[in-house]
Amino acid sequence: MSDVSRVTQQSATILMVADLQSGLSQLTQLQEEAATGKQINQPSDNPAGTSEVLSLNAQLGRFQQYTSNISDGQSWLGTAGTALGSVITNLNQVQTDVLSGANATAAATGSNQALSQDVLTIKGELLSLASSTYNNRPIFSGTYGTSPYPQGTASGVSDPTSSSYDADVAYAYAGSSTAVSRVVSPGQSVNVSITGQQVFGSGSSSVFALLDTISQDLANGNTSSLSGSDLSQLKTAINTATQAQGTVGALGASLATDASAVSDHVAAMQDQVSTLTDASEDQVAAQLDLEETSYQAALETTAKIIQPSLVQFLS
Amino acid sequence: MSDFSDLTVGLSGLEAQQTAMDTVGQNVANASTPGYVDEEVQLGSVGAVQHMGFDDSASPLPGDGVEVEGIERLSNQYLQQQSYTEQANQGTLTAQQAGLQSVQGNFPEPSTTGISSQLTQFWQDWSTLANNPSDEATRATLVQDAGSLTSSLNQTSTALTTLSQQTVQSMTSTLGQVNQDAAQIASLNEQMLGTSANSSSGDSLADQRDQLISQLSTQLGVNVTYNADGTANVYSGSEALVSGANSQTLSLSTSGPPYSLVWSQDHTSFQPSSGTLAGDLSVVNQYVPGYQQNLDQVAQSLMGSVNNLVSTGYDLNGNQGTPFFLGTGASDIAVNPAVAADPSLIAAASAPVASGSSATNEDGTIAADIGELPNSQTVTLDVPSGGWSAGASASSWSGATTTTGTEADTAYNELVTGIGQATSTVNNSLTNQQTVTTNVNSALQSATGVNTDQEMTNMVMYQNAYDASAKFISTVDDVLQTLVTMVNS
Repeated sequence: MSDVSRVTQQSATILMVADLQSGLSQLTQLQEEAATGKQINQPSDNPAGTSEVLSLNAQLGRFQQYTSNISDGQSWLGTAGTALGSVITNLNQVQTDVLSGANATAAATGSNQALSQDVLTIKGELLSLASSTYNNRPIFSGTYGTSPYPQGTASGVSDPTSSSYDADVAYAYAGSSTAVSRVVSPGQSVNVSITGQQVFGSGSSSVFALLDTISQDLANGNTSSLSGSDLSQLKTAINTATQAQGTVGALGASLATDASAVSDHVAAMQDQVSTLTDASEDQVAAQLDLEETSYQAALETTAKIIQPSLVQFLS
Repeated sequence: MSDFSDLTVGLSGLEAQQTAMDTVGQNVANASTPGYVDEEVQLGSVGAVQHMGFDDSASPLPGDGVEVEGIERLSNQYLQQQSYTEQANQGTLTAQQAGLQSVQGNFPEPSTTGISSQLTQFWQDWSTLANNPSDEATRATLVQDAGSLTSSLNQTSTALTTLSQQTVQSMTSTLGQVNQDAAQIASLNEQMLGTSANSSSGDSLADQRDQLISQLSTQLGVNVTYNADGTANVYSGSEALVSGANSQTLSLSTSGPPYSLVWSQDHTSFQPSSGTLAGDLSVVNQYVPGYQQNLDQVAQSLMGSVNNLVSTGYDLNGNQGTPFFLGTGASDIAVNPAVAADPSLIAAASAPVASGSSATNEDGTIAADIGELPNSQTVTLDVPSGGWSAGASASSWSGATTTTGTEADTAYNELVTGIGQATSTVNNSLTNQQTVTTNVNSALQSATGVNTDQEMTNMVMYQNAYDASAKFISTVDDVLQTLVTMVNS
């Protein structure tokens, strides 16, 4: 009885059950996709896709970090830019004071006293601008978390009329010479600050010491110094501050370029992750429909095949 | 030839058809019994007996009726062995699939909660720390996220170990079943020796035995040979699990990985090539230890690369960095308890503040460098002999060797992709194997199973023959009646 075409009820059942099971398992797979909305629910669904998604997600995380680094840097630079703008305005005011002091006659001594006082006030203003902070961190101290020009009894006397006045001690730069930097793209870090030393100088060569000298020269009516070394040093200080403002502006502009490059990259990566992982709803719905129909057809056929046997027809 | 012998001929017909119908009954009753092999009655005509002293040549004799020569079991040893082989292959893949899917279940990727996104968060935390090196909250967040990352690594490593142990346990219980089946096959062989071939009791013993071998073949790939006396020998590898009425047992080697099976007779060890036992062995000997090792590499890369950079840095107190991570591998990696207790010990700066300055150190160069580590596929690792032990300080780095290794994210990505690849391959192989096994089993069933239509047709045929034999007897009876009446009258 080795007839190959012989079919028994059990052999037919084995094949039918296997067919139904494979239909059902395909249906389950599609249902999982439809329920989660994801094509990749476990690594084995698409190993190569999983690898790509994992590395894209890791990159996305880093680039999102770059975005936040950049926006942090922009805030630093913005604060510095505003402070430097005020510094320049104040120094221009001093320049006006110096010019009017230098041209004043001896009779105007009283008004020179007022100018001298004004310059001292502006010095105070500059000291407070130098201590500007962003997010509680002094922006002109480089990588040190301290006021760049600490004022107070411990830091020496900053009153030029005092006998114990020592500009080297009073205006010693206490910050670091390293600017603060932010990582803005892989392997690239950008300065987001400028040190106080670069803008204001340190000790007796600082802009504060210069203002003290100017204030004294005004008070003493020392017109030759005023129109000579004071004015030329003041111009140099204004120049330095303007250059610093330019540097800060350029850094900000370059950060803006980085920001748009990073956000383009993030959008492209998000797009790619979505293409790899998200199930196309229309496609899944259509496939699900198809699988369901063919599964039902298989069930009906099975039900019809399985019933008839000669037994039914023997009376 | 006499009228009385005609009655005997009729009777033989009745008896033979009765037996044939009984066989149909037996077949139909067992149409869905697993392992039942269709039986067919072998009928043979009985020749006429030569009567001594009579010359029979004058009137040729028609014969003495019919007899049942035997009941044949329609077995097919070729398809049977094929079925054993394919069931064993399917057993291998089924066990591998179960193992790999359990492994994969411990790596829920891609997701927003898996180790991969924890790693991303960890690197981001370093970068955030670089933006705000002295901030206590930022440092505390880094320690906390690093803690979740290390505990995920610990848990995954433990889960793999547990999976291995469970698989070993399941193999032990499978072996119990295999040994029991082998003993039962031997005992059925023994019983068959006491029965004659082609008897219905012998056939049912053979059915039971083949069904047991079939069950066994899923767990352990076997080769079966049949002896002239009807008994079967069951081999796996080079040794006989069952030889006639004798059987031996298999047990699992006491230590591993690698685990192996051990024969009870000569104590040699043995790696089966197919069956669920072979699949389970590949899970505990190859897959799980391999993935465990890869996971250790992820942890070692993490420790080696972070600690390498930290060693060149300075903490908030101006001291040289202490190791951020301690441990030897995935099972015991942890944030250095000293750092966890005091996050100011995290070395974020590349240099301390100048001596004499009281400023807080807002330098985050080292933290920024650590945050940038995942941009490279290979990184510099510090590898101390014996791992990063508790109490390791800056000085203990002097004993560490510096080497290059795969970056943690890349190593983890490769691990997950490898698991996905292996699982997907086994899934596909199993789907194909299921088709093959189904076809072979269906072919075996086609050849040896019961076709009820055929049985019904046979039944009608035997019934008609029975009716005819009965009619013949009643006709002979009528003839005898006629004769007796004639004699009496």
